[in-house]
Amino acid sequence: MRNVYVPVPAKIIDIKIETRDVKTYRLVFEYDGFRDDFSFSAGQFVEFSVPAVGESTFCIASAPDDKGYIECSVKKVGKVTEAIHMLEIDNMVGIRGPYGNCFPIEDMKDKDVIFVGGGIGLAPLRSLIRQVLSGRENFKKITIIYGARSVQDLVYKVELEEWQKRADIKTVLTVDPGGETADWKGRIGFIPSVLEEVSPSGTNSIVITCGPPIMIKFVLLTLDKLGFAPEQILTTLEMKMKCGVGQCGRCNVGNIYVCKDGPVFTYSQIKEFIEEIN
Amino acid sequence: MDMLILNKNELIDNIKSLFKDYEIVGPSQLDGKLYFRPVKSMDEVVWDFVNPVNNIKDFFFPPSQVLYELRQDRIKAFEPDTKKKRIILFARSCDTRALNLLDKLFIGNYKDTSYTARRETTTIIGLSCLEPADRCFCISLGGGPFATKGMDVSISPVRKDKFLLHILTDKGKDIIAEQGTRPEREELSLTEALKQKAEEAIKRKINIPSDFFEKFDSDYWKGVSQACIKCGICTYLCPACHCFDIIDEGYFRIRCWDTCSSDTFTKMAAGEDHRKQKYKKYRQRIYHKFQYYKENFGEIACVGCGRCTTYCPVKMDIVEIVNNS
Repeated sequence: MRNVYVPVPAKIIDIKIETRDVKTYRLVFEYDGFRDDFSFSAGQFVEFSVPAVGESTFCIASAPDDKGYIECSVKKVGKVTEAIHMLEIDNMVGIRGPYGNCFPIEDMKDKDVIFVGGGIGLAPLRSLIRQVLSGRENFKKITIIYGARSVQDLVYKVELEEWQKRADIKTVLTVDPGGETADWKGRIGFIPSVLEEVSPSGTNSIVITCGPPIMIKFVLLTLDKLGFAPEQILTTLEMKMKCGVGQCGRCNVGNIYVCKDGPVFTYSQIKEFIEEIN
Repeated sequence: MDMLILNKNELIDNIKSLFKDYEIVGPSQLDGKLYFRPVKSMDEVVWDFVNPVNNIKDFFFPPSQVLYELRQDRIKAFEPDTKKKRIILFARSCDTRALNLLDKLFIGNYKDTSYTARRETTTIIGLSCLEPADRCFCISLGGGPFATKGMDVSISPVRKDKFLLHILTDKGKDIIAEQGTRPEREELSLTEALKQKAEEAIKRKINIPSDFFEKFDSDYWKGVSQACIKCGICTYLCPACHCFDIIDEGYFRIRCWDTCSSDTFTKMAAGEDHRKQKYKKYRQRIYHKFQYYKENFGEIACVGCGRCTTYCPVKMDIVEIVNNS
């Protein structure tokens, strides 16, 4: 019986600098048997350990079909993430997972799919976007609305360009007023107002949103205005976690554990939470 | 279920014979207070008591334990010594009931390997409670001074020098060597009378209001939580509390007890905390025990031992607080 708290070793094989405080780490499992067996669904997360420093929760940002490696995008905000940012290629880290539930991709088929992301919130969405795009014919209209405080803060810039080039998806990028550069060709405006301008239809569609709490708050108000019901809105929650498997109690809200019963929830489920979490 | 009568000397001899092959944990004095701790002989064991300061969860879910060593070039897991068998002596029914509650979490979806190993190698000898304390309220939560849930062997007094043993599991069978005598009807009635007397002595009752769920948003919690100083004693001494922290000390990853009343329990790296105010923390403790655990596992995570009330430095009374909500 494997001890669920003990991580497996993983090696960093690539580090991409996304912004001034976000880096994406590509990891390969060194543990025989784990390398080929590790599989996950978009929306799940891992517990990422730095020896002698600590462990943190990160969603898997690579696509489930990317065999042989996983990617995590890490924003530098505290002790562990600062230590992660000092790691180099070939350094070993510990990974536990995958944990959590996943985006219900089956429920999105034959519907319009709208992604609304802000800042680092694009990380969990990216896994799902790539999975959806690899089966593009199963979905109707696909819209990606993504923004950040400034051009500098946009993540996955290479991928954003690829998505913009595609004719079969609508990609709208925006930066907050004041965050544009001289040659910025995207929109300028806060994400909720850009969402309102794009005005996707609430009929037979599903929205997946992730970003800072203030953005989510206003995006939900806008979606309500546009006619989206709470069951049509999916998001992925962030919560302090330690064990990742529903035992330590930290992420316990009402009778659910965000690590075990989430982190993906519909807005109607979140409204049912006994406790307000933002 | 086997029942037998042993007199006190026979019982002591039986237990003495177990010191050879088992580590024995029992109630014994330390610095003027009573604790469950490893003992080397029956002379150290106390027979007349209500309940020690600590409870038996310490021996399955220790205050801190090293999980593994994590370095760049190796990961070494630490598993508990499962060759060493252990007996917990004279546990009360409230504490043994709590262990069954913890089983639902630790041996659930993800089996906690060290907890499971310790459960398998430990045999529990329970002792019925003759004189409950004023703080006890086990009956209103489905327990009782002579209850046997969670025990492998239960010892109930018949008279001062005679005991009725119930052997409840195979593990219990393995440790009772004495044949004893079959209980006579008269002896059973004597025990039954002691049981009635003990049950009547428990006057405190906890009464969870039927609309407890709806009371979540009430301002009541702001008032009752004011005295709390977030010391965590209630959590550490509660047999049913089980939340923990995972921290790094050097290259060792350690799991240790934690309390939802701690300031850092829900605080995230960039400073967000959805439970910053004290009343929210206290409310979480109460609702986790009396609402959420019941919704998830079918039972309330409180066994009525009363330790939280006895040792709280500001005398917060969980029974009063829940009953008046």
